[in-house]
Amino acid sequence: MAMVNIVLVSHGELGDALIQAAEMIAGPAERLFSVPLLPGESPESFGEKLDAALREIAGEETLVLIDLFGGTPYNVAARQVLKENVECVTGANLPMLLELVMSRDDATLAELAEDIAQAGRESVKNLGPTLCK
Amino acid sequence: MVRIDDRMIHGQVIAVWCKHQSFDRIVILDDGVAADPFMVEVLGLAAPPGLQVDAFSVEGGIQVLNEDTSSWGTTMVLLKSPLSAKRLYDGGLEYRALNVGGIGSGPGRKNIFKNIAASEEEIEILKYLMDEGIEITLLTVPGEKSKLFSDLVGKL
Repeated sequence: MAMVNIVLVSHGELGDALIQAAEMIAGPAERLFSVPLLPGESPESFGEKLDAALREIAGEETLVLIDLFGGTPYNVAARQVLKENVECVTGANLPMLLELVMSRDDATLAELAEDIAQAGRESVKNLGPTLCK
Repeated sequence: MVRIDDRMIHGQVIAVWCKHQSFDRIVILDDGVAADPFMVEVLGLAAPPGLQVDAFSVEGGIQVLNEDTSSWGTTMVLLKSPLSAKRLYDGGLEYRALNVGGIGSGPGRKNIFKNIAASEEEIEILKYLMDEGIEITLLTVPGEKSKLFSDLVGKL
């Protein structure tokens, strides 16, 4: 089975920065793509960039990781989930991307999507009450 | 309120507006969105709780809104472009104020204020609406700097 592609769609350079951070921890990773929505860019222009990026990997299993539920990257990218070999998950953070990079060979695409949504939720801790207060 | 924003409903901005002014309904008037039930679902899913989201074609929306003028104060009408704003006005919806909240840059468009870009044709449309007596304000979200189109138009 081919390796699942990971496409980050984000406000500004967040996606690129998340990729850099994930590689800093897990080492260089393949099949990671980032499509940034630039300040002042129209949804149409962003959509064209996303389409161009996805055209390269059409037909392959792909997980689209969206930075913000309800934001423009979400509005534009959500439709990709209609494709059979694509899953979309919102709320992109570093723990989710790490989980993806490290376990994408061990699970089905649908399982991966569910696993990283879980990983994202579990990674948020309010340290005060958890540790000492 | 009638608002032009080519990003349509995008979480934060809409949440800020809805807190600032008690909207309970967003009416998207866009032929493409209205014909795309999946897109309506995507946009509605992200709307804050308690906010009803509907989508109609521009022509269809004129009728719906004119049938219920009492709810205008709590309804945000969202359009993608100045052209839709003109179609809305010419089609018989007599709004008096227009908020231009966001038009992304692209080929043939120049930046006119903050994150708002417009083509020559769109500037002409806004001038037409201004001349019809509509007060056009360029403002992304309440609290940010705003500008009246009438104060800007001489410099464009």
